[in-house]
Amino acid sequence: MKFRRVAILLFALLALAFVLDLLSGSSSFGISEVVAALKAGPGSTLAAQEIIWEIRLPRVLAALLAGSVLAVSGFQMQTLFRNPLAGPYELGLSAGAGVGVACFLLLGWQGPSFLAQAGLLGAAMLGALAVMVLLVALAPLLRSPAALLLAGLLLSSGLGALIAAMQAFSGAEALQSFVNWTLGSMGGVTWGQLAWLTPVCVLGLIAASFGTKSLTALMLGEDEARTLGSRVKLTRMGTAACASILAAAVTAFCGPIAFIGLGMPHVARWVLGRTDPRALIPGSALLGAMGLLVCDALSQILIPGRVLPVNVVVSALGAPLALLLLLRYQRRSDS
Amino acid sequence: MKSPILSTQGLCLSVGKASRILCEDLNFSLHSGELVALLGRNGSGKTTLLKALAGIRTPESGRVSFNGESVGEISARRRAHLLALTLSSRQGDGVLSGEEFVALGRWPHTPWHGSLSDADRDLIQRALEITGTPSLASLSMSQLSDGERQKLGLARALAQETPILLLDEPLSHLDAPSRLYEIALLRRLASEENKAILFSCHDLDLAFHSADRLLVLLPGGAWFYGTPVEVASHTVCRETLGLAAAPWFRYGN
Repeated sequence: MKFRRVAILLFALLALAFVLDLLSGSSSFGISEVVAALKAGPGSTLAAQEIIWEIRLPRVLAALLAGSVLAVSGFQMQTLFRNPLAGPYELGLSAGAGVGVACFLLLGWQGPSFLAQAGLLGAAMLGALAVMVLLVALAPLLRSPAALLLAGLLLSSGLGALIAAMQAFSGAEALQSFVNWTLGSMGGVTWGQLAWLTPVCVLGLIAASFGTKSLTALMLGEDEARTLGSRVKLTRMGTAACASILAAAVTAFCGPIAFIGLGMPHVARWVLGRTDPRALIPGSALLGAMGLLVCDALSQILIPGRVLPVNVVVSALGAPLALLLLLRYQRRSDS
Repeated sequence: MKSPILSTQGLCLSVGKASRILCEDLNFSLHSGELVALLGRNGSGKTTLLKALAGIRTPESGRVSFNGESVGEISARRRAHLLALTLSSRQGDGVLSGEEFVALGRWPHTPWHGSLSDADRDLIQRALEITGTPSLASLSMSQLSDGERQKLGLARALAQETPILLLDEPLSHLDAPSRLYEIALLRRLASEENKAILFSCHDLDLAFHSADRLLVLLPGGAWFYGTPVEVASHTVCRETLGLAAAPWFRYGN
């Protein structure tokens, strides 16, 4: 019953964070104006309606989706690698997706808008999946969680160099568009992009939910999971693919966003007091969405008249949390 | 005599590139209600044999059968209803609580979403009580000693409710009273609940005095399967197990 009460509270807080983010922006609107604009529907020439429908709603919906799937992707990676310090950004998935995006934006692989979004998404997925394949191959050789984290950082650094090389050969316009992407923000997400992001995220979350039972068995280790009747290889491959695709989808349209994937599953463990995936996948999704909505709202209101890239706020809040996790893990290992 | 619930026919196991032979042409059978101890020196292949019997390690040759049916013909799901295996290696289950760890024993019995029914919860509670571990239920696995984790490993295997239990060193890391409690429990599970139990062990006193039969893995892939009296009088077994150099060891004389 306690779990149910916490779940209801989390849903209420998520709704609150959604409204807070919808109210945040460089133009100041009251709740009644926002409600009226929403009721009036899209397509109006009135400033409030245009801002709410064309800028804020896509941004807030993107934050909702991105936060939830990044946290679920992080939780999947932590379970897959049995590493509490794993996250899609930290282990280089975002950098892999970034290479795909860079190929797309910097080398000018453009086309009709709808197909261009699909191409961007596909390129990011390929990049993230390639990094995931490398990580899965490296993981058995890197036994300590910190070593895997270091390998992820090195991978990110190597991929960063590749991206820098591509930047050196690209035109000014493409470069500007790519630099904007690297800042990490939901501000530029359009309805066209949401049309791709939403189904990928929803299907990914459904797939993650179907995989929770198998993921739970994996917590025992591969041998014992197999004796429980779990199809370990399929679980590992499915989880790795799902985590990569979710992280890539967000990275493609919102840019690289750090710490949500690493930190929110830990926050979910702490808030829910549970460790099994059946509770933690929905819990991480709720808290991830809430965390990114709040960070997005903060990025809009922290400096009046200016909008910070959301990744700046997430990193500022997430870095100390990650450091605490690292120290806590180190203390556990020492004891 | 009843047909065995678990048996091997000409089983051969080896490891490494140099193909160190662990056992060759092993023909062994385990019956319901029987408690069998698996003995051998470090690295003799006890864990590898348990994995092969559980169907998660492919043997070099030979076959493993459940009720006469080859392990290869049995789906992983059905196998999980037949046998439970606990391994002694410390896995990455540190984030689980003791109860969640034991609850994983119900994994083969739960629906796709993995939710536990009231009956599942009762069985988990019973497994914790039988193994004397209710006080560990709420603690994180990472906070437990190796011995406490071993006890919960047995509780998880019991929660799986299988007729066969394959246990890798369930007595190691346990203090003396716990060892005595656990071996008495295994004895009781075999005789009262008709479970077929094979457990690897280095405690010769407990193995010889509690098990119905002993399977001893000998150097060079040889093996010996017999009653404690037969093993105690087998020269190679005596040498391999170091019985000759253990003046405190009294069995059968």
